[in-house]
Amino acid sequence: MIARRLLLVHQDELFRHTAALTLGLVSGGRVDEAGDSVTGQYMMLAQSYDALVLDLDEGEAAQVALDRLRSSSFLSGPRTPVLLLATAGLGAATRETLEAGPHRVLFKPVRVQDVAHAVQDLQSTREAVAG
Amino acid sequence: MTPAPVLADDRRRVLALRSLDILDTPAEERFDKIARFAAYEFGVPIALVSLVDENRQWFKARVGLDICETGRDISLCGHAIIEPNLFIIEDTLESLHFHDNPLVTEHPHIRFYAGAQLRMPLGYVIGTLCLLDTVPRKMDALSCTIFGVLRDQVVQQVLVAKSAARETA
Repeated sequence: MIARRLLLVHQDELFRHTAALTLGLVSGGRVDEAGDSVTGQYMMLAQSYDALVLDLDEGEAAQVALDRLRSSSFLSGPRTPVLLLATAGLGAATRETLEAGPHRVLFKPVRVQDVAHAVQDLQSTREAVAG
Repeated sequence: MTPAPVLADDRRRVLALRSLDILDTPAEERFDKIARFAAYEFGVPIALVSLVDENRQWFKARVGLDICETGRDISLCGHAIIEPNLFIIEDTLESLHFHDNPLVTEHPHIRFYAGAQLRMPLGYVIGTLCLLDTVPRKMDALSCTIFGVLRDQVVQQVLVAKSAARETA
């Protein structure tokens, strides 16, 4: 079972839209999309999500979103699973974020099927911990 | 070889395709991008946006193939446009219909084919988004879902391109 309500933040419209529609079809849940981290943060202020997929290529803006998630600034709690999509090596702040919660990272280039499997794994881990 | 069948209402289908004014137009990034995306996502060497005209299939976008059209009679997409939803041949050499097709026995030596119909809002199928490989393959349920999503985006882009052309006319 994939997250019931998921937010996907990615700058590439084709990737984002394909991944969002696929995750929605596979899970039967709702997948919201944001084209940048700032928009994504507004959405996280208004809505609680069961899982997040964030593109780290926006740099500072993406890291700010992660920091705010950790500090409980959003309706989604700091233990909300996050799948990070990254190009290369991770900064210290990002590594801290990864260690602080049930999170995962995928290095680009990433396929939509990789994202679907990773989100499924994240959610399974979360349910196992909760159960 | 089983030639690509032609249904009774094919003339209307072809008219619908030609009314889009997309045949024999230059390559467009909106379609090329989807073809590249599909080739990477599914790990195939060839991905095409194929439009099935009266006597030929013409490729609006192509990755990994050096020809821009083939005869409709030998086209696998000519079969795919009359099949429901996704048309998949895991190994053409195992198929009675396709093992001796020239696209199988000669260049580009197709062994795997997957075609997703490009069905327009009025119901006419103008072509396919298709994946080709030179080795046999299978597609799992998740891949089929993603393939269908990508196909829908090709249809969307056809409509956007038509709308844009109408505005500039």
